[in-house]
Amino acid sequence: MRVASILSLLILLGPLSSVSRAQVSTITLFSYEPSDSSFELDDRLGQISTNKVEYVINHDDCVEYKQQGRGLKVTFDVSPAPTGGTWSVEVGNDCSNEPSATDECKLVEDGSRSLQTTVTRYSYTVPFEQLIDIDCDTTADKQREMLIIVTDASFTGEETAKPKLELRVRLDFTPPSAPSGVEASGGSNNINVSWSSVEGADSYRVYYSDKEFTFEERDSVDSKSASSTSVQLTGSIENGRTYYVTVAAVDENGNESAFANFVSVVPEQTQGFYEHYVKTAGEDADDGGFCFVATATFGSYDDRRVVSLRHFRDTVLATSNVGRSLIAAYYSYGPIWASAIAENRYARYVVGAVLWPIAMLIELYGASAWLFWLLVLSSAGATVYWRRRRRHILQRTLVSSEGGN
Amino acid sequence: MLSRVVAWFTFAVVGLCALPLRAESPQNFAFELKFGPYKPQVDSSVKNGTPYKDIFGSNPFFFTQIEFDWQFWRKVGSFGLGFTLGYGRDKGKALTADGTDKSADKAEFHILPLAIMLVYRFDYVAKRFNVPLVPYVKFGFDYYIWWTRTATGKIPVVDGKKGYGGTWGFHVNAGLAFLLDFFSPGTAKSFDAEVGVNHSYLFAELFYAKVNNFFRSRSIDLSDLTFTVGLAFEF
Repeated sequence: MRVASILSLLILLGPLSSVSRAQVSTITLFSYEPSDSSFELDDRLGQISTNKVEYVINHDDCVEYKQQGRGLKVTFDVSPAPTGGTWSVEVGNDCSNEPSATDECKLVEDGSRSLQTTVTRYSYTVPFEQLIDIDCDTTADKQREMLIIVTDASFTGEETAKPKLELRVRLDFTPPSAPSGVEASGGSNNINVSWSSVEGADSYRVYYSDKEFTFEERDSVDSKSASSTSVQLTGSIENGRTYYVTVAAVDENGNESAFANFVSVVPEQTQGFYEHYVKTAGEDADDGGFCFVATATFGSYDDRRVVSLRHFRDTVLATSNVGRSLIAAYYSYGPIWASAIAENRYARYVVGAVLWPIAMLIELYGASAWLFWLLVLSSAGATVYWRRRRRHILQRTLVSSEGGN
Repeated sequence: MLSRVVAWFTFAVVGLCALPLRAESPQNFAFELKFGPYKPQVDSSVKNGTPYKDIFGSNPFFFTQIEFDWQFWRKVGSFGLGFTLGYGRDKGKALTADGTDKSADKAEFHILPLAIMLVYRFDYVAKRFNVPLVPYVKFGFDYYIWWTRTATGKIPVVDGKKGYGGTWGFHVNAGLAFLLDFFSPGTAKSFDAEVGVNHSYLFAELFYAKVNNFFRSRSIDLSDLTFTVGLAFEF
């Protein structure tokens, strides 16, 4: 009797003892990163995701990743915690229908691992050699996928119903066509370069050096990016030296074309307008500059405007007691102010804005004293007239309002 | 044929005169936007040579100005105090080092004219008799800020002299403005009621600027005799 009871109890408890834990139903991407810290993934145009193909591996990436034996470390989460089982990694061109008869996605070496019942986060490093799987020098533009499949120990459904994580990358090794029609002209310490546009080019890179160079040596010479089909080179260009210039087209994924035709150019000294004007006009040339309050804010001590100011000081200010006091005060405090102003860019702006109209008036006086006084008297007259008119209008308004009352 | 044209024109003018004057919002200011060709006479201040023409050629460059007037007196016509700000740029090719030929380098010359002036507009006939023509004259003083740039975008310094500066001068303008209210009085009235613009004009003016630091020596000459056309609004 007792044995029967115990047996009955065991039979009852049997199913209960294996109370079913839920099997893994979802798998989500937690992160992806380089397999080691010695390099960085080039996030060109976007991120690796499961929803769309954004991440692009271009030719240079391919060469670097494969030559250096780089890998992509993917970390993912499973939910809920597994009851046991395995997870596997496959790579291929299109893993969306796996498993399928064509078996386009293949299991990577060592791509099958165990699921632990207490672990919900797992990582796997897939070598780029396997993820890319084609030669970097082929002109490819294709999609590649990495598929992580979880097979929970309790899973009993169809193979295609297993939780999966699909990561997509795009391989774009196809460079644009090389530009043509490169022309270069040398100016004074500069070179102007132009070329024909290339379909599919997102930008261009102009390479130049005073020594001949090859495509493989391009990283060791000077270069400049351009978004249009012409550019001016000004960096370390010396007159009289021969420079070799060429251009490569770059597509939106950073694939660089072969070089265009090389051109050689010798920059030479030129004569710009002001130089030509000074040479031609000689002593009659305008000295230029705005200048006020000597050197601190604008110009030089010998500038003609400063000469005018000194003339104003000597012929107007110095002839009166008030003027001489002003001169003395200026020479007492002027150097301190000038030093402070000269050292502070914003102080120069503020002082310049305040002094500039004063400078213009004093310069006008120096240029033509009668016009200066005409302007001053006209302004004074206009002010008096305006004030009297306003007073007249106000009085009329007051009178009419009193009359209305 | 000519007599017919004259007859129709006279009919139009008389018909316009019959249009009643309209009430307007207060008017105190005017604004102008104008354009025209400009060629500074730099070479006239140089005794031996034509440095400006050598670099920039003989063709004028495009020149823009805006003007703001305060009409402080309005009886028979209006007197106003005006302020203008303009800009123009000339482009050319630098010369080779020996100055005998053009090089590949660009050269630029910029002017930024500032001016203050007295403006008289004779709009009495336009307002009283609805003749849509308003002659005007302006006289004022100018300060032209100028600067040049090398091929690499820098302002040159040659023998201590700087490739930028300011030059004083004066100008006299005479022009004729066509009152655009003539085409659509109703639109003009709405424009006034909604925006406060009393009148709109299309104008052309002769522009004589003498900008050479009042004939002083060692001064770059930025004078010119030219014309401008533009739009004006009184409000």
